[in-house]
Amino acid sequence: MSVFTGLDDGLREELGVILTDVLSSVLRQEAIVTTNQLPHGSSVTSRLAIHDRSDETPGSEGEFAVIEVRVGIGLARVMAARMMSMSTPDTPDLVDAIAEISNIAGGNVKTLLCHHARLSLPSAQISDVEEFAAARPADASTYVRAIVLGHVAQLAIHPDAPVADLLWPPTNSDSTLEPTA
Amino acid sequence: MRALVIDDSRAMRAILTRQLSALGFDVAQAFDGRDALDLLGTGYVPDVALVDWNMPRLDGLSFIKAVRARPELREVTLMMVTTESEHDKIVRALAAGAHEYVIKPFTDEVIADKLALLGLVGV
Repeated sequence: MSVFTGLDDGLREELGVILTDVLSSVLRQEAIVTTNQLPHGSSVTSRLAIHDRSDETPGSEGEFAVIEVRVGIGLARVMAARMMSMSTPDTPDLVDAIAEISNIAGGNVKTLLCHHARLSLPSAQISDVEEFAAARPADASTYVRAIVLGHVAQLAIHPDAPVADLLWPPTNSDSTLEPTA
Repeated sequence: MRALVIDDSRAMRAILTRQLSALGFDVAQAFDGRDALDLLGTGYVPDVALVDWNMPRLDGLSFIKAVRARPELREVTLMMVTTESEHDKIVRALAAGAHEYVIKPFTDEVIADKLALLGLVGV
C-alpha cells in the first residue's frame, strides 16, 4: 500500500498542522485549519514531487506523489509582499514566494510520511483555472486547507499525478540516501 | 560581520537578508552552491554562510564539503537552513562541517538564537 494514500484522520490532522505552521511562521499571523474552499478567480499553484524509495524490492523505482500548494492571487500578493518586504510584488515574486511555501510544506510532508525519500525542486505558476476539491475526491488525493489573514490556502497530496515535468536537484552529495529510523 | 545567504528562492533570501541585516550583518546573496563558490573565488570571505540543501547545480551539502576542503575558508561558520529534517540529513551536514542546522519553517528568534550560540551576535 502506498504511503501517500489512505491517510487516516491522525495523518490528515498532521497535514493541517504542517500547513498552519508554515503559513503562520512565514506570515507571522495565526493560521487555522478550515473547510472553506479556495476563492474564485486566479490562483498561484506550486507543485513538487516526493520520491519515496522505501521499497527496496529489486526493480522497484519507488513511489511518487505530487505535493501541491494553491492560494488565491490575493493571498499570494500578501505572502510575497511580507516575505520579500516589498509593497507591490510582481508576478515572478508571487510565483517564487508560493514555490518556497510549497518547498517548506513538501519537506515537512516528506518527513511525516516517508523514511527514505527525496524532494524535487518546486515549480509554480499562475492559473486562471478554478479547481475546487471535492469533499470526497474521486481519486486518491488528500486535501487540507487553512485560513490566514482571511484567505484560504490549500495543501494537497496527489499520489497519481505525473512528475515528469518536475526537476530534481543534483545528486552531487546525495546520490545515496540512507534510511532514517 | 559579513553573512552570505545561499538559497535558490528569492523569497527565502529576502527573509534571511532582512533578519541578518537587522542583526547588523552586511549580507551577500547567492542563488545556489555554484554561484556561492564563484563568489568565494573572488576573494569574498563571509563570517557566516546560511546554506539551503536542495538547490540547482550544486547542493548545500556539496557546498559545505567544498568550503571545508579549502584551508583559507576554515574560519567561515556554516549554517544549514533547509526543509530537510530527517535525523540522517542533520548528521550528514554536521559531519561534513556545518556548525548549525535550522529546519524551515523557522522564526526570527531561531536564527538569532543560533547565531548567538555561535558567538556571532550578542545575546
